[in-house]
Amino acid sequence: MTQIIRRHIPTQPLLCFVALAWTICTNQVWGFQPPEKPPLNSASTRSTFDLTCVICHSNPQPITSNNPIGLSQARVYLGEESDVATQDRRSDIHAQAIHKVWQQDGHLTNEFKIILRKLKNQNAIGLNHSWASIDPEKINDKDADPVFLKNCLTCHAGIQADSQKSPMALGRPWEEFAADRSAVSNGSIGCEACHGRGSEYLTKHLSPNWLTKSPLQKQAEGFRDLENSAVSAQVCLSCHLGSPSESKIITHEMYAAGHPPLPPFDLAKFLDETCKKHWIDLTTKSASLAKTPARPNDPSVEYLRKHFESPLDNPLEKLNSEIQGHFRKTQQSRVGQVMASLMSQDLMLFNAESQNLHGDYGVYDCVGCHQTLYKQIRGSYSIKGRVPGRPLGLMWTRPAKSNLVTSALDPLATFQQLLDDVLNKTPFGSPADLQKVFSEFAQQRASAKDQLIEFANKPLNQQQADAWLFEYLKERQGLMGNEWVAKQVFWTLENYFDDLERVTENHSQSDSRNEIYKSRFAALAKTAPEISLIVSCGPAKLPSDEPVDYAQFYKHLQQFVEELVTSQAGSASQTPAQ
Amino acid sequence: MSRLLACSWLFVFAIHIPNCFGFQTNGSAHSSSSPWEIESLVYEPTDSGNQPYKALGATSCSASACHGGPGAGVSSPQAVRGSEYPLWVESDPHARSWRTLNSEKSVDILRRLRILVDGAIVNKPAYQNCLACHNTTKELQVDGISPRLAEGVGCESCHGPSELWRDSHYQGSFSVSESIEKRGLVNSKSEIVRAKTCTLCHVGGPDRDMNHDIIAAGHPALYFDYGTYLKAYPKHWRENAADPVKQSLERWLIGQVAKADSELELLNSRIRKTHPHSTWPEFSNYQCTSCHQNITGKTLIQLQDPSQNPQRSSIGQASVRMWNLEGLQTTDSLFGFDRKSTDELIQSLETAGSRRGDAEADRKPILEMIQKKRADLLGDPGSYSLEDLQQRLVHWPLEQQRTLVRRKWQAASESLNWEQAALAYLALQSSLPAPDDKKPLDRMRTRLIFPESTQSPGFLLPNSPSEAQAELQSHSWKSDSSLILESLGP
Repeated sequence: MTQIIRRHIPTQPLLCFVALAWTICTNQVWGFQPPEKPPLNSASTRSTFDLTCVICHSNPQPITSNNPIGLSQARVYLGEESDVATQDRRSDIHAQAIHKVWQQDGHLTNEFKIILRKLKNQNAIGLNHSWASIDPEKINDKDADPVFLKNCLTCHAGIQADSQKSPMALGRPWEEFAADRSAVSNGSIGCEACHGRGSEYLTKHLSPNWLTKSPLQKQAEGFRDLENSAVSAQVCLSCHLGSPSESKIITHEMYAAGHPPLPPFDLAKFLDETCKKHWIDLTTKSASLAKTPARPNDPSVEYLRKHFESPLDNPLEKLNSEIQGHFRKTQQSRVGQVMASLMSQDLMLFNAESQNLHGDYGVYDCVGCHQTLYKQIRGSYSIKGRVPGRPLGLMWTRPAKSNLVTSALDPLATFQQLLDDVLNKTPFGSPADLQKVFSEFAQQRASAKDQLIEFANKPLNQQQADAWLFEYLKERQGLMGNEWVAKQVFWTLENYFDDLERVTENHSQSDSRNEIYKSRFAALAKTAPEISLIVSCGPAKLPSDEPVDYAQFYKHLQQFVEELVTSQAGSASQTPAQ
Repeated sequence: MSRLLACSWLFVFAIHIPNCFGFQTNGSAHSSSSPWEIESLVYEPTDSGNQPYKALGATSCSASACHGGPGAGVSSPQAVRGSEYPLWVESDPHARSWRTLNSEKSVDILRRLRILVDGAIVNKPAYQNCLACHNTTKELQVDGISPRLAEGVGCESCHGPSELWRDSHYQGSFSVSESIEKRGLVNSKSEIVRAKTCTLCHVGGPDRDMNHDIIAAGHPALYFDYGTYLKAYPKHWRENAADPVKQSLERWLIGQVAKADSELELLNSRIRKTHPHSTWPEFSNYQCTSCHQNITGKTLIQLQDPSQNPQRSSIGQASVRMWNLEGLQTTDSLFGFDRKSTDELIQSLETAGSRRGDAEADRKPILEMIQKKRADLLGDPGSYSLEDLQQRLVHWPLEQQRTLVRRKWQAASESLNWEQAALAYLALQSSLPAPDDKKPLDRMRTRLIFPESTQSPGFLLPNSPSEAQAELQSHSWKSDSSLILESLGP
């Protein structure tokens, strides 16, 4: 045990424990009561899973709406504590992800073996090495092939592809994972897979001014501040879309071998519908804080300010009222979309630069080709200037101009146009031409993600949300023939109407037009096929055995979007923007 | 002046041809029913390229004393028909091809491909690529005066441009062989020449490329089978085959060779990029169902997933379309050609498709392999002799051909590959001596989604999926297969 602790806290053991003791005993930061039991006990009885974090974060103090920043995150994550909203006692789906790879005995699951067997004889198009060295029969939780590790475990077990080169990377090194029996049996994608390597930031994390640091400052210190939607989108998308720099890539070969397709990603939907949330969203945090009497220089108020751009002299009450009027989900959805655009461009660049990768169909839109030749075409879409039948990048990650929220992102529209041209020109997506376009925009792209992180702290009020939604839908309305674009538009609308309901409830405002569209959307949502659900606990359940008429649903969605855009255009012309 | 005159001529034809084929010339009619501004179609002729001789148009054959007569009738079976032109005008689908090109659907295709923009043809080479198969000539106006060549696929499309032999071919001193050799007459009596004539459009050729861009814009994919097309074709000649089954089998083989050779020619020109509108690697060289399969649910065609093919070495890569190249494998096993080089060619095409490699290093070896396979098929490039090949095919024993079909069928019936099964079905259909019970064959056809209206396969759903499903469920592919094999004889 001591050895394990030493390995996890190699350089600053004393400092850490002092800080830890201080945190536990005083619990100054959020003003909570000390835990009933010493946290180390609960950690040692259960696992050494991301041990450093577990020392504090498996505090039995539950997270509740009255007590939003408890310290039981690890317990909720692992299913020892019930979820705040749903009282669900299962563990987070990410903690179970390991069971897709390994059985309890430490050997590969049959499902995974089949995929690897199919991949073994492949050319490894899409990767810079071959699959040939893999022996699915021999791989176990102690002895993973480097190719398997780099291409599967980076996402499936939160392993760092190359810990020597990137100490700031997400996840933990393989050696540490392999030495930890409980990792296999108890959880895979651990704290550090999303929040960053603890050894980098632990000391700073325990200091009292931690809460007052901005997301970008924390990121520079190795911690991912997932309160910030741009940061969390980047972290989620690194697996749910791909991140070449972390060796998180899925190629067409892997899909063809049996890996399920990665669906489009919507941050608000994915975060809010995770079946085991071990966090409380900003709106609830703020409401809860506003109930308790404010203390002078309360760092938690400063925390709110850092995550919700607001004048420094704003009193807590006013700040809270602004946060309550904030269209959080809409903003999350929007920021997530921009991040997806940026990251999908990273993939395209990696494809173009990689000698053995050019030609990987994984970076293109699945439904662009995988539409059956029957009457019901699910992938049809039209982009100006495109010759039919030629590949395009992922449609759902195409930047919408309305999403280019800061000046640094403005050139991305031109950039996308140039990318489209290269993909449309024969030979489709020539690596040299792609690289040329990328090098022209290298500077803008380099700063874009940081700009987005800063932008993600900005409030979005109803007027702004309406204006954005209008522009966004106008851009997307012709693309509803693409299943994934339609899905994302549907999710965005869901988020918007959720926000609208919450905000208007709080402010007891009501707008008849909004009411009409809200109820019409609710009716439409009832007919949505199962693919629009995010099922993070267990397998998707089909609503019925009858085949779902997707085309019909998308047609209705298209009609709804068109009517909403027309009505908004009408109302905008009646009441000019103030 | 002549340009103006030509414009008005053309105007008349664009209006009249879709409605009738009278080719009236009282050119004062003006109408806006034409899908685009007709002036745009008039351009100065360019070099005639591969066509050194001038075509004179179908009307020049249609004099009532020549090919426009009432026909010899059944009472004199040995007489030359004489009614070829009216038969073509009334019943031959080729006579409709100009109308097809002017139809609303085609105009939409031209717009999607940006050949037609704001009512004007803006991409002439691409438009000529359409005309190459939808019309006798690629130029609508050949000599600056006569516009009558907007006629669809006329006599000279297949028989050769008649500039140098029209006025002499009915005279006693006319030498057929000399005209074939020197004056552009096509030897349509030779089955293989005839088949190659068909495949020039129905597969493609050095100067015409119907590629994936055009398919995606709405043009149907090409699934040609010489034997079955010929069966359905309204013939303007007489056929007196002593043994119809033998003839049908021969045609199956000859068609395969012709398709393979045309496909190799097309591949060659795609790789060399001799057309401005060709691409390489070209998606239409791969099986449609490789990519166009549903990833989220089961589909009606269960035979469509090429990745189920046990012969495949790789997954997630498009399989090479063998519809036209099948002839290479057939001739390899018939004549003992180098089978390895065929496999290599197919493997290289598959790799090229998945890597989309465009480098010289990717292209050169494939071109060399194509060269080799063409030499296998037809002899050295300097002395291609289609007639020699036909002799070899015709003298090949019928029983051996049947064995080949049987083997092919057995292989296909065990695989789950739609294309392989469809090709085997066509082979079988050509070699079956009219079975009493055609039901198993019909069921096969339903399974492969061959629409009733045509023998060539498509991807349309059957009219009544539930009925078809019920019929299929009561019989398995395997049991039907063994029934058919029985009827093939021992």
